[in-house]
Amino acid sequence: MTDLWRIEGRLLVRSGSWWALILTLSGVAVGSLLVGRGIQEREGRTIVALTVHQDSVWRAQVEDARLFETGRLNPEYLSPLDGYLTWGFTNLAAGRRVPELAMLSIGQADLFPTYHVWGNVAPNTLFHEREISNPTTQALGWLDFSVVLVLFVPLVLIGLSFDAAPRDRSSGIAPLLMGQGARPSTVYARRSVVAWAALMVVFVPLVTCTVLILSPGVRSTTGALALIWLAGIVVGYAAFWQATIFLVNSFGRSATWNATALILIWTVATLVGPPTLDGFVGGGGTEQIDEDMERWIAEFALDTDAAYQALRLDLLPDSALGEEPTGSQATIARLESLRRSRDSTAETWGDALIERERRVRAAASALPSAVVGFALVDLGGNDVASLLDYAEARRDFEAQWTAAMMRRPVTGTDYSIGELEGAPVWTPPAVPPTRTWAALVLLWGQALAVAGLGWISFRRREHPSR
Amino acid sequence: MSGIRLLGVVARREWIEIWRGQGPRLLLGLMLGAVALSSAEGVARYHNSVAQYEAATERAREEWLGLGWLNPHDAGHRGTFAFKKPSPLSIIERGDLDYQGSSVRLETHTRNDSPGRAAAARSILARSDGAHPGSVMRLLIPLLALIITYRAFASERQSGTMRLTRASGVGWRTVWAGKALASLGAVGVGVGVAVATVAVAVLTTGVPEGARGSLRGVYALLVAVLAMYAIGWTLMGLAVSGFARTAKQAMGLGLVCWIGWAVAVPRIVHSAAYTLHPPPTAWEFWRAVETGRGDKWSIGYKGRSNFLAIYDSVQGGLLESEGVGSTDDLVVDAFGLAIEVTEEEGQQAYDQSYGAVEDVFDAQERVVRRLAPLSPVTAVRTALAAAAETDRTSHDRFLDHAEQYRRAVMSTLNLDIAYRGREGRTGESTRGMDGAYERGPDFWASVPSYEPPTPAVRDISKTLLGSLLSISMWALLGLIGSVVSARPSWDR
Repeated sequence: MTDLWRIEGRLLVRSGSWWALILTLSGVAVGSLLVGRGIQEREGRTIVALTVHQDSVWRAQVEDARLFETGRLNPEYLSPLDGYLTWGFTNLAAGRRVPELAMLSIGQADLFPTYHVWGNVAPNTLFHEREISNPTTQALGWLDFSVVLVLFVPLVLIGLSFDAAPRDRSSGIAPLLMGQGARPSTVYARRSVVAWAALMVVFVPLVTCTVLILSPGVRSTTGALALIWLAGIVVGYAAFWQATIFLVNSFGRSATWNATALILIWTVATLVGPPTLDGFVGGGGTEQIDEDMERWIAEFALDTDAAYQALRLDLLPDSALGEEPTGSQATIARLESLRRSRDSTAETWGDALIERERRVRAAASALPSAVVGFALVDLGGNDVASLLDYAEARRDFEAQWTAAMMRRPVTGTDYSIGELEGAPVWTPPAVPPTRTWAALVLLWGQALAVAGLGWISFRRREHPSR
Repeated sequence: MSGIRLLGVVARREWIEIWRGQGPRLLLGLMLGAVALSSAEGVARYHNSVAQYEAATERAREEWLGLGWLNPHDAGHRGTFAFKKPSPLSIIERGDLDYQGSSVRLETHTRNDSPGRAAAARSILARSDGAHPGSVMRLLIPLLALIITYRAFASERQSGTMRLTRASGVGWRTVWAGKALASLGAVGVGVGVAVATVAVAVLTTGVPEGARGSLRGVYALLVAVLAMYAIGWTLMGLAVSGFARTAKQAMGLGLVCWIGWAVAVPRIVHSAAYTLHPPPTAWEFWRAVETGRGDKWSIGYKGRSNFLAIYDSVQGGLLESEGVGSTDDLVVDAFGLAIEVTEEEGQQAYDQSYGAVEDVFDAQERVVRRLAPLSPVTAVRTALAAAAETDRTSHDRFLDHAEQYRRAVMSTLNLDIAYRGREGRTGESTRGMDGAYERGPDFWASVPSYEPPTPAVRDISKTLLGSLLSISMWALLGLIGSVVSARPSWDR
């Protein structure tokens, strides 16, 4: 029986279709990682450029205001109002920390803002609702690694093994094998393991090496663990599909029947099932227009009559036009309250989103393609929770900055150079790779369960009464 | 036996063979079930969207009319909203709808982007071209056609019955025509029922009487596109079956074609288009706007805007043209005119920046169009999204229309300050800028409400005809392939 392993392996490696499939899959996988890496780098470069630009503008302004001889502030910038108009209105930049493994799955990162520029009392200069993308490209889905794994790896396995049992029956080898005392369950289980292992031996090192080359930052211990975990997900998902193919082969039907059945399973499991599940579990009807309206109103609350008047007349009269500033604590309190109201709307929306996501993830645990999709997006740090974490950190920073810059107009005392130099500095929240062990357990559990069903089905056929 | 009768016999036999298999029955059931379910979901979603659209439009108008007494420029800052009206045909195809946003805030100085994305409120599971009748049909019609046709020639060759048929005097043309007729009929049953299901769903939305005529024309063209799509895949399936040595090989080749054309190529093509023509980042976009407007947003309020320079220049011009020595004697308010000038400068900057983004998207779509012959799925998606007004062109039309409205409203407000701002003033406080000049409910009511653009039926029809032509060319390839492969010279 040991020979059986060797024979199966040799037959597979000598087959032209095996090489064609593995080379195509490898090419597409590497290409998808390059696409993901390109998008990741672009985001990273933009955020770095933006941060450096804003930082240099701030420093240049502080330096510009410092008197050469004394190193103290130019009186022009000292008074609460003049200072406030300069310091308080300097636009700020904040960008998220681009996760190291973001190339694995673009996830929802193209739909959420990943950097912002804003002025502290005028959140209506919040420029970036999201990055600019062609909606058609977004709607069709990016060709990232998660797509390659979820859609194409099962297809390659189906291509390699859909006719594992019928092939022997039509060529007449099956009776010969059985005549030598081999059991179909053992023979086809080994053939399945060989096909699965042969693909994994090439595919997994290729993917992990490409990730290592493209993203040297993952060479740390955390990164290495993340890569091992990634390999576990890839191998587990492939094992599930190989087990499914094994099960379909156990029904003793023709090669074309097997192909049709497997393609239908694949279509439902990877293409039709996930969006349908999302719609039914998460609520299919979008509340987009209502939501837009509420968000708009909250976002632009500062433009409402009372606030705008208060802002314009109390804080922003132009001295060139001869008006006296009448900045008051009440006005500032009003602005603060509006900002909090806007943030609260955003938080409520974020909480609802997280709750919806939790429901969808729970229901999707029955669908291996969904489990893998979520696992990869979590590992890549482009999941909704990480993106909302960034948004929350950015809002907190904005509140800190506003409080610091509004202190002087409220107290009526002058700004000091130390205060400006010690202004709050944006620190993006860390995005560690999230490894959900439950996903691994779930995938391997499903793979073993389906393989077990296949085994039982084969054994039932072997029974003398059949 | 006459040629026609022979053809009938061959077609009948093929028809029976097709429906004897479990695959076609199973797949047909799956496709029709999915179309029916997604149509029902689409109808519910459409009604929900319409209700939201009407409520939001009414609320926006009420807020505008309830501005009270206010300076017109302050009213410009308060602004209003334009909402995109859902099309009844959006039931069929979601297209880019979930990635476009459905509203835009209209305010002075700024041309806003359309913000919300329905897709952002969903999980990543929804990121695969959705589950709506359009995506179901574009994915499953080809699979149905391939499952129906893969045995047509290949299994007969494999079993040797093809030679027997020929030996009994039936010409290859008759065999081809009979098989094609039966296969097209079988696929036609599926497509016909699916299209009828969707049509019933659209009719339940209560399409307004006035819109029915144009909608009927668009739907007819859409049916023609889907029919040609089904014909193309059926003929391609027959060609694959004709070239393959065995039924298994035909099935394998067919599935590779389906996966390639229907699943992989559209994604590869769009990712390639993005890589070749990346759009500007949001940061680059806003920097360009700032530069165009002459603003320096990043360095604080004092250096923020070039408004004061414009204000001085306009005031100087007015003093000269009106021939007065003091600003108090001016008839026209400098502030209103200066705001109008900055508005126009802003419009140019926005036109340039938005235009640059559109140019990039157009370049991306040119790449997609050039590579469209690689996959008929791209062409059929373009047609469905255009008909349903869920494509980028329709969204841009809405945004442009809303922007024209914004400009007209802001111009009305600014010119009102300019030409009426100094009426009834006393003392020093005579500038529109200080908010002393106010307008009330009657004035806000005189500003017309936003009306969404009517569907550009002509443009939509043009897109549909373009797609129909592209798919017809592809179907012609299938026709040639199937005829060539059916010839006796291919018998081995």
